[in-house]
Amino acid sequence: MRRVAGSFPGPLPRVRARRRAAAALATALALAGGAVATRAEEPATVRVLAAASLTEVVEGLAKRFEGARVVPSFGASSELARQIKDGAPADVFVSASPDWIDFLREAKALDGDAIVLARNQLVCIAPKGSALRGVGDPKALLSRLAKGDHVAIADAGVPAGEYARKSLEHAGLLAGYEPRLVGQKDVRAVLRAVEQGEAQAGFVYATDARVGSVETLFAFDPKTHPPIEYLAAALRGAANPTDARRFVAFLRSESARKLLTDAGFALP
Amino acid sequence: MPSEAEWEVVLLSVRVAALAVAASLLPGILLGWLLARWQHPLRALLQGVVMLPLVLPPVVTGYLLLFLLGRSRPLGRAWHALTGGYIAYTTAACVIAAAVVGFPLLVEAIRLAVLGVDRRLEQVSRSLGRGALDTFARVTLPLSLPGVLAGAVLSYARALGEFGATIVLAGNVAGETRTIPVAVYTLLNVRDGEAGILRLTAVSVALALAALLGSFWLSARQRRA
Repeated sequence: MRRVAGSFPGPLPRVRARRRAAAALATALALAGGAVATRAEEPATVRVLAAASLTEVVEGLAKRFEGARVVPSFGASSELARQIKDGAPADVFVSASPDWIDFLREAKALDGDAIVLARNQLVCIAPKGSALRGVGDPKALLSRLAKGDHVAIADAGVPAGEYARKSLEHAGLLAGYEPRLVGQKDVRAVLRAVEQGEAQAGFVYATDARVGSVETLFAFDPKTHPPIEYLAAALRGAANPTDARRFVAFLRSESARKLLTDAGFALP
Repeated sequence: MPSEAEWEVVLLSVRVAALAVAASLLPGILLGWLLARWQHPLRALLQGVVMLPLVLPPVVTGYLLLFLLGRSRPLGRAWHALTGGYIAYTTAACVIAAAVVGFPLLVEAIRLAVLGVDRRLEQVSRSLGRGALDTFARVTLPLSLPGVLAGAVLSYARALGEFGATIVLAGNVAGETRTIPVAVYTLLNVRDGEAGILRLTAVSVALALAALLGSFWLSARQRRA
């Protein structure tokens, strides 16, 4: 704070205003401190980082989980795994592919073993009322695409994108598809691009297709890509290890199984 | 050394940024001059609209562009009628996103440069019988040229780094819209992507630094002029 020369009879108006501002700031800080203190008495939180395709299921589970407040956040499993490895605050990780669980196991970031909680299927979707209706497999789709048509796909490394690329590669179609493919950051971004009609087709999970207002053109042959398995694990860096493990166990509870099957997931 | 695919990414970025600046230059000069010389209450509003992409979150700018230029929108349909193609997810979309986001930097630099031109020199030219356009081309523009170039270099650098609006409007198509920032973002998702990220980062730093130094040098020349 600036010192005022001693000969003034009282503080200058500007200085007085500053003091008032300082007092207001102090009050605000005290209030904020109080808020932090109260928060500590609330139930503990479990931060769950989950694959984007599980958005609705994990949000439903968060409401049903008792004894701790679940704070979920969603994204590509690849992105979340990297964030966890780089020290993002997280208690539980739910991945749409074993690859990113392995990645964290190698980084020694897992607390205990991972569990398999669900399986899924890969499908091709198109906007409602699409002229592509009736297309039955990736080869037919490629031949039916018009000039300027794009197919949305999750980025390389993102599980939904990896499964789709593996399947196209298996069919020998990947090179033919490459100029048509528009990468998206996660499977839900693919869904949105198709819903908006900016991409004329897209590769998502069967469960995503049920959530969006799109048409399913065909399902990929599961023999052409690695099995789509969802795995969950508590994390070594968890701020709340007890509730983290409890939440992972909860993912196999009756209520979790019901939510998963209602959303169209298959159980392991 | 960067791989072939990485060079493709770098070359695309440089090409997109150069096209974005080339497309912005003429409207940028016009608007910069207008904002410097036009005395009208609406000037502030116009300046606000021009500066908007500088302060809006780029993702929002991208969404607005997609909203305006998407397949089912009037502008998107008009484009289709003209060219037979669509804008979203093409190199053109990349250029548009980069141009819009870099535009305010270009216009502001030009506006300041034109403001720095002594109006008496323009008046002398007019009093000697030269028209307004001639005066602009022979007096105002040459005197503000270093500022115009500094703005061009700055908006070029901004265009090179454009990500938010690009990812929404242009997506991530290999060879078409996968510029340096989009490629780095893609590699973040790939296991063992770090080496590629580091190489692209090194190229980014070199390009951005070169552009900034160029812009500083040109600004210094403008002040001396």
